[in-house]
Amino acid sequence: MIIKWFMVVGLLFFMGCSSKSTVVLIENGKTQNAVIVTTDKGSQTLDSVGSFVNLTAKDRLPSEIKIMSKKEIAERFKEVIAITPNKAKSFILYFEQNGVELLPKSKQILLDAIDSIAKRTPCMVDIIGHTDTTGSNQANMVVSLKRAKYIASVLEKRGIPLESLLIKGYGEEDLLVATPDNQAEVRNRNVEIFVK
Amino acid sequence: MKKTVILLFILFSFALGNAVGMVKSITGKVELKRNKSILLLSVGKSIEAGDILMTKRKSSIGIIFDDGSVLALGENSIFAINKFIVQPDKNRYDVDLNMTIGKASFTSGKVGKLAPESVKFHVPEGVIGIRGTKFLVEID
Repeated sequence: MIIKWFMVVGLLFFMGCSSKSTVVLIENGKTQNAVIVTTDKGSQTLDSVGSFVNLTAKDRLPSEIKIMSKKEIAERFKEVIAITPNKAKSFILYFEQNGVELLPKSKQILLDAIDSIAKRTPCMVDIIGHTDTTGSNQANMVVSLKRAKYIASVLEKRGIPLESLLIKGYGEEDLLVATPDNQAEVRNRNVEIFVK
Repeated sequence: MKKTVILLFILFSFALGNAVGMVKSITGKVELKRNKSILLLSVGKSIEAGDILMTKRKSSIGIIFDDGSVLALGENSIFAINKFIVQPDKNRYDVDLNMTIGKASFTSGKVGKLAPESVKFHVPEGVIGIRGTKFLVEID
């Protein structure tokens, strides 16, 4: 599966000298996920932005859920928010059938990805190739890796320094869109460039 | 005989450890305890499973993990990365983090979508977990 967004759960923690922890949910992105805070006595689920609980001891329940104002969050966690790195970015490039020819629109996305990588130093990049379900599994492993290597070669030609570069081919094992076997599907013929 | 060799090799490669993330941003002085040595961290240094991060006074650090998860620590914080396994191709997920003191922010990456239940973020009084995606149901 390829993920188009990454901000699932945002959390902030604060611990005072008496070992009291506060857990605040600060962002739950598009997926509306939640966090569950558990002690030996029970749990509380935080599922809205700004909601928080205090923990005082292992053998005591988490506090009732309260809401922390944006202003208080910004003040209490100022230094942490200031140092938080940009989130990772994912670029999906689509291919013509059976090869490494990019669809015209994806050529622009490749340029956008290169731009994004160049702006992030130091940077780690994963390049993961995929195919649709036409053809054999083994052949698709080869094609997906070929696609990933092709995209990697474009990046390497630009000479952008990277801390790490991971190149992988998943064949038809990890479809973006679930299809039956032997079905041509343009969305499954892709390479994901994951920029960290 | 063959079996022993393979087993040893596997154990050895586990013991070596691999990078699970990288330092993206830093202010002041941040140390890292790896095995029995203390290293001074700087931008671009890699983070491995088993590492313990320690930020000094007026110091802070930002880290990005392999799956895109993001961690930031404020001053006077102690934070252990016990495990950070996110391997979608092998369907292996196990994230175990332990914060002893300080301030932090954490945003889950791919693991939050693929295997949220595999994330355990310990604090002294308990553990924080990520729960699956909420959804809406309409019944006529």
